[in-house]
Amino acid sequence: MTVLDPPTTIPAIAARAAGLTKTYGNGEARVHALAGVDLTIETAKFTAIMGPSGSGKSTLMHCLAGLDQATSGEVQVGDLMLTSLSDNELTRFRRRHVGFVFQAFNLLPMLTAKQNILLPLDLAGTDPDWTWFDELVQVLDIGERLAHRPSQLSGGQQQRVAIARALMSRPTIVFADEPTGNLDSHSSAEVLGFLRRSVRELGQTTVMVTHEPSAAAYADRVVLIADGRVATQIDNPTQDSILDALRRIGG
Amino acid sequence: MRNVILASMRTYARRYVAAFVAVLIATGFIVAINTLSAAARQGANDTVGRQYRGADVAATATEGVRPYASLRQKAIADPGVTASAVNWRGWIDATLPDGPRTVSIGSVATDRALRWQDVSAGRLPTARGEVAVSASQADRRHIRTGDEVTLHAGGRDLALTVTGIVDDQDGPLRSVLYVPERTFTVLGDVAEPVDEIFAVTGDPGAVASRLDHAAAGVQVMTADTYERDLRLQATKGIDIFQKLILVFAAISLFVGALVIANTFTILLAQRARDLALLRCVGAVRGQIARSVVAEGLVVGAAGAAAGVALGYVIALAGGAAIGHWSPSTPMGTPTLTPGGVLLPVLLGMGVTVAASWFPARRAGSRSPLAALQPQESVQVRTKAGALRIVSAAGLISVGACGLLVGLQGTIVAGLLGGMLSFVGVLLLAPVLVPAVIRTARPLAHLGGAPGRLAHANSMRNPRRTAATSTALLIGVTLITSVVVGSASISHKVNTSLDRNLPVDLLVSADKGALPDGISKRLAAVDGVTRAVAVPGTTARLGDQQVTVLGVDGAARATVRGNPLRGLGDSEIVLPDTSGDIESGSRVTLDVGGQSRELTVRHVSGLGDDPIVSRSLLDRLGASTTTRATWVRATDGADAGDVTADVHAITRTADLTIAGGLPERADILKILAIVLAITVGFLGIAVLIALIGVGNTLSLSVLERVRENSLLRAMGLERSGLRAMLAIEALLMAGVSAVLGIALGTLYAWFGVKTVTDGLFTTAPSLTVPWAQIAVIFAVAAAAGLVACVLPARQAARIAPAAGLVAD
Ligand SMILES: Nc1ncnc2c1ncn2[C@@H]1O[C@H](COP(=O)(O)OP(=O)(O)OP(=O)(O)O)[C@@H](O)[C@H]1O
Ligand SMILES: [Mg+2]
Repeated sequence: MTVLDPPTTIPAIAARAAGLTKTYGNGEARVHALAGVDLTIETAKFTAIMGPSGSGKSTLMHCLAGLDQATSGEVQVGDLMLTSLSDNELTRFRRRHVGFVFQAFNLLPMLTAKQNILLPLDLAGTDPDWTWFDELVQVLDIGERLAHRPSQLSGGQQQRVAIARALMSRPTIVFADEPTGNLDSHSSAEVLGFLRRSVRELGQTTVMVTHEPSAAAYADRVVLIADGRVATQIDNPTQDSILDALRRIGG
Repeated sequence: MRNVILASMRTYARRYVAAFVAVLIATGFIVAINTLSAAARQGANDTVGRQYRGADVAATATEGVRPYASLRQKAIADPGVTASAVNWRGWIDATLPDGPRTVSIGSVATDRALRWQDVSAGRLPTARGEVAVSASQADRRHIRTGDEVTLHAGGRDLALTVTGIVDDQDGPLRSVLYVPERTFTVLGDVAEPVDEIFAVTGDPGAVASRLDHAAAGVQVMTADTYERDLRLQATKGIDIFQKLILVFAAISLFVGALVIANTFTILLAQRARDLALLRCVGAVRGQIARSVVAEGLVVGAAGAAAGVALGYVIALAGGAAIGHWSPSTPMGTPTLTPGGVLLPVLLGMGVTVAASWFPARRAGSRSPLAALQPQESVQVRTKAGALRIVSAAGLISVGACGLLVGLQGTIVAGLLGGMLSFVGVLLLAPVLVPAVIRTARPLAHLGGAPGRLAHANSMRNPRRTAATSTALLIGVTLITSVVVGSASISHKVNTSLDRNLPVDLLVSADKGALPDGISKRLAAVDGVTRAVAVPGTTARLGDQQVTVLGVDGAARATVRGNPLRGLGDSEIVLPDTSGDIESGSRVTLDVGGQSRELTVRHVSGLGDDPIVSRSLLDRLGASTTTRATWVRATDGADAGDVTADVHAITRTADLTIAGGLPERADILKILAIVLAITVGFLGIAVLIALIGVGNTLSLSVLERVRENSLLRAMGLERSGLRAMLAIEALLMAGVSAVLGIALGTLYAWFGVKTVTDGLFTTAPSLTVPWAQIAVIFAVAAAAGLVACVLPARQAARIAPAAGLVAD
């Protein structure tokens, strides 16, 4: 794994949110999805975000990833303040610094697996690093499937392709929103194992939203969200400590 | 279920807008076309009909004045006849306030019920000493009521007072002067009775057959029959309206149905998952079908009602536009008839319901869970794909047979054939369109990453791409066939007019030479481009004494279509009616003792005299005098005015006039009407294509909100997304345009052959107006671009995070 050397210049903090709020709707229908989140994501660490349904996990992730604008507060990724960027700057930021894995509908149906993996680079107009590509394909075991379209892949294969795509551009940070939500326990373990390997061996900062304590146990740190706020954080979690903490916040 | 229907109509209001718009334009199209064409037809009929508006029964005599008088005696005795009148028409020498002229003269019925003239000033003449003048002449010659007009007939002068100004009304009885019927008894033989008309009580058919039995030497029939005959005469047997309107009405119904069905196919494909979910939670098939059909009914009824209103407004605007740009085209007032409203409304609702029923059944028949899976792209290799191809092939071959049968002049077969084959082509579209788009790959890739994405996008779901292209394909096919068809027909009409009626007016003397200076006077007439004196001499052709004319370049320049091109000194031109002398045979011409062997060439419409080249006459040393004058009228000049003016000049010198001007003017007028209808049709087709493509594009963008948001999350800029959608639209528009132009040209060929069957001696060939075709292509591409602007803006505005969770 000599080619997978971690990048040399690494700030200790990969992303930071301060006083982050996000409200939807007006008047009666007003929802405070985020009610003041303060959070730091450390570089080369695997962070899991947990919390009851509707607590604001996805919203937080969208704001951190520059997919959505926060109502107030600051978001910093690397040394960029996202809250001051225009839409085009945000788009270019995502292209260069962020990788995504979603729960479902990760891949563009009209592109083959290979085209999907290369899409962010294609959009940025950068030439792919083919050694890196081969490495990813081999590690994720999708070499046979590169010419297939998403509709011809199983759920687990689709997620692995999505992970390859997320890692392909060596982003500053990878966000995964319930990446194993649709998978059986075997495929889940495979995907989670690979995410952890990419953190440990490649120093790839990764943030994952999940519902399952078993999945969160793969992470270096678990951040618990309740009612749009950070409730508590657990370092080096185990399934038991996570369940304990969840019970305490009444999730 | 009612809650589900209402909720889904609220939630998907935007999608229903598309369906509503489809029904709206489809019914609007049908109503507009039918109303406009009915108005045009009524306008054309009115030119004849208005002059016979009071008549129920009409009679024409084969010969002479006497039968009319005796028929009148018998008619007065008939209890069913309430009024009778003889229509007179002729030419007379008159002294108008601005000098002497020869003018046309017509009659004003003694009985009020049978008068057709409308006065714009004063009143109609009733007494012997009174006369009315047509408005256009009154205007030109500054004649007012109270002025004096003197008629010269039979060596007598008759002084008349102008009592009224009559509106100009196109038709066989239109004249410059109108005098009471009884005045004609003292005018001598300057005028002849055209026909006799009767107003009757009861059944005109019965009265007509009674009178027909009673009178000899006349043919009595109902006024309706008579008017139809007159119309046929006026249009030289071309009842092209009947055919054209049938064709347009059928096409409009067909296109309307297609547009609605197409939109619903897209709409329901998007909702397949909803319907499947409903099935999962326990809705039975019947409930699903009922709910979808109920939605269809509501949308169909609302759209159809709005469509009738829209169509009527378009028809009114179109009528006004034709009236403004082409005032000489007779147009009736557009009116809605119960049938004209009910049919499109029922059709709109029916097609909507049918179009929603089939996809609903498809959704209902799949296993609910299978339907919940993300949609797979349509594969041609599946069973459904094979079925599609087989049925398309079947429709196209049956349609082709219909088209071929149609070539024998069976319009209905041709129409059905055209429609079936077009449906076949549309069925093939999911195979055809992506196949053509595939070839455009290098072009799309010029657009960089968005271009590549757009190309992949348009290839991915062939059915969606095909459905989106269909609206434009329909529009372009329609427009192309109409443009190519009318270009071909008008080219054919013009060339056959040129061949049959090459000279506008031929002035000749019954015997001997024309008076000096007559050509100069004719050339000075308003609306005459050229009048050229043609020299000639007396000669012998075989054993016959003839006048042979010698034409030079100047004379040839008055002839349309140039049938005398390259007339050599060894040739002689004979009318193609000249019996047994065949074209290409050799005849001997004797001029002043010299004789020449000449080769015969047949040309029609140049008068009865043989024609040789001027240089031949000169070489034979013949002494020539002016034997004829050939007049070429300015294109677009009023044929009636020019003929009247030429008449006025030649009448005094006792010359005869022949030539194709009046007939040409009549036919060109018909052609103008046909083209005007066509232009209206075109405008509406453009509208359909535009709205249709906008409709389907916005649906297809709506369908892909998630996908587009994913692209945005991956780092595609707003402008990139817009560019991608624009390139996609351009690809589809370009392919639709290419296919549509090809198809349209093909259909135009069949259409022209079928509609004109029997009208011309040789079938018209295809005239492709390339410039207009290029415009169509550009407009189609622009339509695609314009149509994608709104949906693309919408898609780009959605925040990626919002789009990712949308469904
Ligand atoms: N577009 C929106 N409009 C209005 N409210 C929204 C919108 N998106 C999210 N919300 C609300 O914001 C809150 C947080 O939503 P979010 O999707 O972040 O929850 P989550 O923690 O990801 O839940 P889950 O675990 O179920 O995915 C919820 O109460 C939700 O109803
Ligand atoms: Mg969520």
